This record gives sequence, C-alpha cells and structure tokens, in this order.
Amino acid sequence: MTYVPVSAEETHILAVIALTGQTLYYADANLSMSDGKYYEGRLEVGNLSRAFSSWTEPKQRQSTLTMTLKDNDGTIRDLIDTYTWGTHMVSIYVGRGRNLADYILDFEGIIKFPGGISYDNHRVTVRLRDARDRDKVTLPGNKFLTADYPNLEEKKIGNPIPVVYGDWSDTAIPAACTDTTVNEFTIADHAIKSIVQVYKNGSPVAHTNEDLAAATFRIAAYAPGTDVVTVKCQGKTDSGILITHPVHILYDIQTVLLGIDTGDIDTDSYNDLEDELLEFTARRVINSDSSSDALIEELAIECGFDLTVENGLYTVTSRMPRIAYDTLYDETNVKADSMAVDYDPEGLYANYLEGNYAWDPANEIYLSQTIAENIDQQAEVGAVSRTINYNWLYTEADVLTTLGRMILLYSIEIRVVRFTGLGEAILEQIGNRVGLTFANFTERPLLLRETGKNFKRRSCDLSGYDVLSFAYPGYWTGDDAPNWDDATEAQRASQGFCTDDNGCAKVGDNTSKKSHWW
Amino acid sequence: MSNVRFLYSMKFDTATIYSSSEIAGLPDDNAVQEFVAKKWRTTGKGTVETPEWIKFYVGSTAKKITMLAIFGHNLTSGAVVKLQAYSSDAWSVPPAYESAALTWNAQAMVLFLDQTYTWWRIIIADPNNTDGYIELGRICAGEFYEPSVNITENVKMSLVDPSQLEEADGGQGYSIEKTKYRMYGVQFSDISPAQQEELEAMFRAVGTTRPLVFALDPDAYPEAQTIYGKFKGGSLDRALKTLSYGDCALTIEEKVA
Repeated sequence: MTYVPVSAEETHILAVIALTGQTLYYADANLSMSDGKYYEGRLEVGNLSRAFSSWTEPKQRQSTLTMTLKDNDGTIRDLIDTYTWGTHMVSIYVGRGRNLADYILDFEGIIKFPGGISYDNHRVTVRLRDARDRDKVTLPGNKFLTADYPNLEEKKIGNPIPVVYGDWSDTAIPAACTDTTVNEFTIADHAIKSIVQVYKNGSPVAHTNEDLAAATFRIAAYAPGTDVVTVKCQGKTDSGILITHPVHILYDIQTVLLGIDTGDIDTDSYNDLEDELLEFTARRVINSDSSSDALIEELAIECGFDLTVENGLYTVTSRMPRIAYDTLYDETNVKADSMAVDYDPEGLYANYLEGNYAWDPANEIYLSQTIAENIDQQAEVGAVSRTINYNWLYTEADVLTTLGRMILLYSIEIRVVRFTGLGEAILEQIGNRVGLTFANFTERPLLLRETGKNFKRRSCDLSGYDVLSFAYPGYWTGDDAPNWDDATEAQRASQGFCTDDNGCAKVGDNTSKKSHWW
Repeated sequence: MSNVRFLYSMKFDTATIYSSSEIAGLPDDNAVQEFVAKKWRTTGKGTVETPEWIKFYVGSTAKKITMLAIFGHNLTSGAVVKLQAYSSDAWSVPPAYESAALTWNAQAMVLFLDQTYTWWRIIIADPNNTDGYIELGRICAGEFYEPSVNITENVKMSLVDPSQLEEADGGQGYSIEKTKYRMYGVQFSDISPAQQEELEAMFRAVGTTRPLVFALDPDAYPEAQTIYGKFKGGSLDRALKTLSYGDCALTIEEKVA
C-alpha cells in the first residue's frame, strides 16, 4: 500500500473497526472499495495529534484520535449495545480513490477503555489511543504469594517478584526468602546469568543449591525479620547471554514482558540505534510496581532516543541532531500565515547538569554523582542547573557521555518552529526530519516533535526543533570545505573546522566555538 | 411531448432479488439500497451469450413498471443492458417482454415502458469492461408521476463542485476533490388545486429524506437530464392565487454517493 499525495485528488479516510465477531468498515463518504467491501460514509475524523514526550521529563504523550460516526438512524448505538468496543483495534487508512493499494495505514490504535465512547442523538464519538495503551502493563508482573511459596517470609508477602536486568556483580541487590524452612532465597522472576556472592547483613556468606534457572540459592542460617540478605549477581539473559545493552533491554521488555509480537517491531531501527549507542550498558532491578511505559521512557531519556509506533511497528529514533532532511517545505506547501517560532517553550535550557547514577537498590541511594557544564554560557546568562537521576545507566563513562550530549543540546536556547504543511504533510510522522525554506529560514532542518493531522483539510500542523539551534557533533570534513567565514549557517553547524586552542574556528570569535563531539 | 416525470415509489425495492453473481461484501441487495455508492458487484462482466443478470420477484400480484433508471454504474459505452419480464421464473426465449438495449450514459441509463409482470430481469453484457466486473449503484423501477401541467421554462440547472481547497502561502492550491453533482430548480406556475395535491402527496411520500428520480426532459434527454436525488429545503411552498390556483417551486439535489 502506498500513497503519494498530489495537489488535487479525491482523498478519503477509511476506518476499520475490528470487534469480536464483527468487522465494521467506515469512510468519510460512501465507498465501494477494491477489496469488495462497502465502507459506509459515516466517518468524521478529527485531528490526529501525536507528540513525543519532553526531552527531560518521563512523561509520555500518546497519539490520540477522536473519531465521530454519524448515527442519526441509531445503527451505531445498536452496535455499541451488541458488541464490546473498548480496547478493540481500529485502523485508520489515508489515501485516494477506490483502490486500497492507493492507501496507507496512518494510525492503528485501540478504543479507549474505560471512557472511550460517548454519543448524542446524531453522532457517536469514539476516542482512540495508540497501540502502547494496549501494550502497557505494570511491572513486575508477578508477586510473592503464599499460594506459590507456602513458607514465604512474612515481610515479602505481596511484594513484586523482581525483574533484574544487567550486571550487578559490583552492587548487591535484595533477595527474598521464599522458603524459611530451608533458607531458600529468590532473586528474580526469571532465569539469571550468575550468582557472584551472597551477603548476610553486609557480610559475605557461602551459598548452596544454586539454581540459575529459578534464580534461587540457599544459605545455612537465616533469621526472618532480622537478617538482611543481598546478592551480587548477573541478571536476565537472552539465549544464555546477559542482557546489558539498552536496546536489548528495550527489546526484551517489549517482546518478553509485554508480549509484543516481534513482527510488530521495526528491527532495522533497533539495530541502527544499537550501533549508535555503541558499548552502552544498562541495568535495573524492577522491584516495585512500575508502569512499563514509564520504565521505557526513562530508558529513552537516559539514552537519548524516542519510541514511536509507525505503520503499526514500534520504531526507535535517535535524538542525535542531524542536518539531513527528507521533505522540504516552502511557500508551495506551507499554509499562509501559519508559521511561528518559539524560543525554548519547554524550558529545556540548562548549562549545568548534575547526574546522579549507580542506584543501589538495597540501600535505595545513588552511589555516584558527576556533572557537565557549559562555562561560557554560565558566564553569559548565569548558572541554570538541572539534576538528572539515572536509573538505567550506571557507569561513569556512559553517564558522562550522555551528560555531555545533554549539555550540548540544552545549553543553547532551542527554537521550536511551528507551521501548517499541506499536501504530503499529511504523511509526516513524529521523529521525521524536514527542511523549511520560508520567511528567514533557508533549508532549515527541523526535527519533528509534534504533528497534528487535520484529515478534513488534508493539512498537518508541524512542530519541530530547529536543528541548527544545537551545537553539532563533529563530522569528518574534506580538504576543500569552506573556512568559517565562507561557510553557510548549515555548513557551520554540520562540518568540522580547525580551531584555535580555545576551540574557536575563527580566532577570537567565540560564536565560532563549535568544537564538540557527540 | 412529455412533461417532467417523477419516480418516487420504487417497486423493486421490496422485491425478492436474485442475481447471476455477487461478491460477498457487495451483494445484489445493494442494487436497491438508497446509497448510490453502495454497489452490487458481479464476479464477471457478462457476454451477450451469457450475460450477468439481476432479477426481481415483485410478488404474486403483477406490478406495472413504467420507468427503469440505473445509476452509479461502471458500464462502458459498449455495454448491452436490457430489461426483460415474464409471468414466472421460467425465462424462455424470447421472454414475454424484452426492451431494446438501454442507451448508455455515464450518469444514468433510463427506460420508459408500460408493462405489468411479476418477474423482472435486467441482463447486462459488457465484455470490454476493464474493471473485470459490473457494478451498479442503484436500480429504480416503478410507475412515474407526470404532472398534467408542466414546469415553467424558468429552470435552474447547477453543477456543484463540493471539493475543498487549501492554499499555500505562494497561492498553490491543495484540494480534496469530491464528486460533482447537479441541482435542478423548477417551478410550476398557476397549477390547479388537484395538481398541487398530487405534488403534496409526492412530497409527503418522500419529504426531504427519501430519494426519487426526476426526469427533466423525458423525450429529448431521457438519460442526460434524469437525476437520482432528494428534494432540497425543508418545505413544499405554494403561493396561492385566484380559485386556489397557485405556484410551486421545487429543488432536487442529485445524490451521487
């Protein structure tokens, strides 16, 4: 299925609602389509809003869509009474004509439950959420219960059975006594890689009956309610290999813990991100009730990527600033009087970042702290600080790398450019990179953070970070590249320059201080 | 010379329907469903020797048909479409009644006749149809109503384009194209109370919510000026004069989807 918009065409929106035992086909006009289905013209689709979370806060803004079905005759209300609609899948297609080959799947979501349906005498309103709503769970999924562990120590009854990711060889994590008659302890709700050392009240003790598949061990003596047992270990594995890379952890959470089908994941994007994150390692003991969305979002913020659902596939994209773009918008496809620029509307700016890392789950403290700062910016506008708590990354090298990236991104007042795109803008997705030649901008690369599709008008409100706001990572540059004075703004942002000892591409010009590496 | 004709009591709509073929999502029942875009689609395109067909059993009492109109089709200009009738479901050759081939028109194919039967069948052969199938959106058949006094010469015919346009800053337009439709505005002048009552009876039957077929010039342009539509406006207004003779205006908006 493909759809390439042209300036004048018979555009339609189709909605397929998959109820149990009944599939409903609706469109914005009565259509008999190439698939031999009649799409009843009851559909009024409003705006489809999609937005990434803030770069700094673990708040997920889901894709949402409100769909209205004309129902003067009560047919839809009868269907609501007859079938269960909540949590059922809805697919929205956009394209032209009667041939389904000329359509694309633009949104796939589920009907919000509870509270997804409302109606009056004329219309039924159906509120949709993207697939993450369906795939969201509370982790860990199991709890210590006496039904499963008859001799469970009292203080652990009802506690979640931890999920342990990564290498905890250097920091002991809690273990629960699940059989007080034989002093058997359980570390996690899954097989683990190894048990390095067991501690009782902070002192090493020998252990026996090590069972890595069950993540259990025993010790000789234990006083429930008095003693505290912890263990240095290596956590969850995939085919016997310890899972440590952030992308592998994300994949494991999604496919193993959330049960997402591997066919619903854009593995190419995961592989690309894995390459970009290089040797990053992450770890976490999930031992209190946590939303899988929040856990994933924290991982995304710490590692600098975004997670979206595109064409029904979970897709990850790096936040690394790049100058390349796919679609150029100019006066031919930017709606009149629609452009506006805001300086740092999210309040992202910071020139002093403090990173707390190496979480100790036994003592519930961060064991280490480091900083990254932009001293020049501090001298200019004063210190603006922000503290970032790392709950996944734990090595000093990784934390310094990400703090360095964040100080590059945040110690400049990011411009957010908004405009309404026409024509092919209806196909844009968050995370896309677009160019803008309009007003005082020339081929300005933007990283889209929000899109608002207006299907009735076939336009899309686009909001993107002005990528040239950022300092750039260095790129290898040819001998014939222009020097600082001759370079365009885009070239200054993207290419490498020889610098003086102060990092200035032009001696004495602090605005040319572009010597940074991602 | 004929006056304008209205067909608003569709006798095939309540008939039992059979067809040579249909696909699951677009069955033959759709041929008498109100929406033109809700099609009956065959699996083949028919030949003169083995045409596709759709037949209607109107009940044990034979019904008179004086007008047949087909809308929303995908037929090519080479298609051969005929109406047949018989007193039972035994289609001998030749049938009791068989029309000449209907004249092709992209918007409507229309036949006027005067026959009374219980079984009716439309046969279709369109071997050069590149779609590979035959699609009909709406079949209307019944007895037309022809007022004794015709409309005035003051006829307003409009072709409406409901497409939406958004303009870029440079003036370039981006359009959502929609199917164009016709509107006919006609007037009856100085018509008798009896004819007014006939118009009122028709308006009571269909109001502004039920479809009808309107043939503006059944003699000269039976296909080109026949539309499937609904009365537009919320009321049937009459301006009365001496002896209750009066004027009455009607607007019919074509329904193409």
